[in-house]
Amino acid sequence: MGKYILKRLAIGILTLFILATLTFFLMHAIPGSPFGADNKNLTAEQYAAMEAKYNLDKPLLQQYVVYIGNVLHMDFGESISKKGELVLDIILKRAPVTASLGACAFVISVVVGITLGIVGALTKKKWVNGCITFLATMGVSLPSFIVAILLMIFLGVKLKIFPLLGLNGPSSYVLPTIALSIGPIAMVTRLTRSSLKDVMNKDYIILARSKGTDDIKVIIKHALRNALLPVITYCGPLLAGLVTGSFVVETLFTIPGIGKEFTSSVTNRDYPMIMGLTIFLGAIVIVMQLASDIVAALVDPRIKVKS
Amino acid sequence: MLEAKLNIDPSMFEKLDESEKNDEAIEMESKTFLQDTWKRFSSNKLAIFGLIVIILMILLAVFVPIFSKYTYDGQDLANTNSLPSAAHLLGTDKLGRDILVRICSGMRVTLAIGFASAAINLCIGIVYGGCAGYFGGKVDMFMMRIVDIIDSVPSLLYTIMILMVFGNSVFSMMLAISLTSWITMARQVRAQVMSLKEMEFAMAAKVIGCSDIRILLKHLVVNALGPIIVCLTMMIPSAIFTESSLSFIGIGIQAPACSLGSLANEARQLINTQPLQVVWPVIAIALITLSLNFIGDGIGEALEAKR
Repeated sequence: MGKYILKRLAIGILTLFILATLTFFLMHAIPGSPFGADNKNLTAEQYAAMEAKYNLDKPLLQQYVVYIGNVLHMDFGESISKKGELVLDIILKRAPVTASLGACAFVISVVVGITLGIVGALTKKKWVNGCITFLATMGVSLPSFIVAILLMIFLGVKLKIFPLLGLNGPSSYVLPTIALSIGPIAMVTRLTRSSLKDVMNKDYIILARSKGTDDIKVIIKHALRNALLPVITYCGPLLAGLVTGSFVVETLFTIPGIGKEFTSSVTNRDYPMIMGLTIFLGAIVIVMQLASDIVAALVDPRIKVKS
Repeated sequence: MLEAKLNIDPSMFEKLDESEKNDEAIEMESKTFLQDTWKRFSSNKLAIFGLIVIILMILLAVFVPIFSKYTYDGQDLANTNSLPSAAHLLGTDKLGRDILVRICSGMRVTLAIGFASAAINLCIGIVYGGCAGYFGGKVDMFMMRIVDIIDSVPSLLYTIMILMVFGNSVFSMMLAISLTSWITMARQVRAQVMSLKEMEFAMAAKVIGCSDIRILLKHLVVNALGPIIVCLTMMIPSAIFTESSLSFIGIGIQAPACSLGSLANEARQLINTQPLQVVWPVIAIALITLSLNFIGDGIGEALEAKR
């Protein structure tokens, strides 16, 4: 077990390092300078001073070494578009907003998804199963902004139940959370349903039943415990989905979180900000993936044998 | 008498009726693999619905911009934000451009990106996965580690960075999407090639002296076509998903070019006053992604029933 965790940890750190390297070289491969837009306002000396400030005047490899060194000290430099603000400060200021929205969406996806999955696996009514299949297909195949816009039009513009933009007060959480969790709900539902259906035909379920255990206990104690493993391993990718989903949802609802910051720094060509955010988001996703793999290994003794 | 001794009924030697002549013949026409698959596919109502919708969409996307009297960027400032009418079937936008023509042009771009990036994806996936699966051992180990590392970071981050390097053209969009989404295809091809290369026909090809490339492409990949096609049909909607999400948050296709995502992005600014304008591109995206998913599911079921 310890060896497994160490191995996964090493791969995680390597991944992060490669991501940082890739980000650095891709950002420096972009033609033009970040100060290109207001170039006319800068004299040659000012331009040189700006380049020197952001280390852009040194050879690429030297910049790279300095950059990696700084990243190791959690120093991502200074934002270009927001003068004088440190990238790390901006990230720390924005992260709680995204995290609170993400946490809501996470809980809802898991709870609703598992519930729908259980109903779908156990129901004998055809129309119930049909509805759940329909919802799951919709959720997986439609981009989140489609659902979000339709919700905005019906609940926000026509009925005026929920505010359209911003994140003030609990009611403003409703629409973004639904938009963010539709896709994950569909995935969790599919996973739970198919694995629960598999498990329900296993010998140990038949044994438990034939011993006279009541149905609810069989489902909760015997079936769900085993059926939820794929859901636990899916929690890593689910988080990645919420992170990238936040780009769209936060931009759409103008929520001042990490995702909005990322898209606006891409449009503003704010390179230090983009690099810092990429590494930050990458690190979060990697850590969560590691955590979900470890939890899965802890819960399921069968995984240990394989590793 | 002979007849009396053997007791044979003379009626057995009578000539049979012409209609009974072919009683034992196999009347059912034998079907090729393709016909068989098509039969199963066409019995799937959702898949046929999807196919019809996609064909209609492609026809609209190709012909409406050619035959309409409006162009996608022709402005008519005297007639802005008009509601659907006989002159403009879907109305006009804030600059008086005909929405129907714009949506059809956007569909061209979106569909082209979807199909083209799936095609590029297929090539990368077959070469990469094929090599890893065919050569096995250390090569496989090394190549799959790289895949794991790429896979553990949300691909949207890479896509956005590649998009920044190559600019916002339609072509760079295709490139960025296909460069980041070949992972699933490569894994699928690898798994298939690994199991197929142990079979007799691969051994036979090797014994008669076929080159590695010939065995891989002419023998192994061809036999793995079923799962590859299933994987491919799922790539198209997911590429469209990515494209429209990116264009929607303003990172993808930029004006004056338009895709369905960027049209939805433009129209959402008017969501409070002109909600109908944003509904059109949203419905188009929803129909395309849903139909493609139905087709993909249909093909998957039709091909897998054989196994």
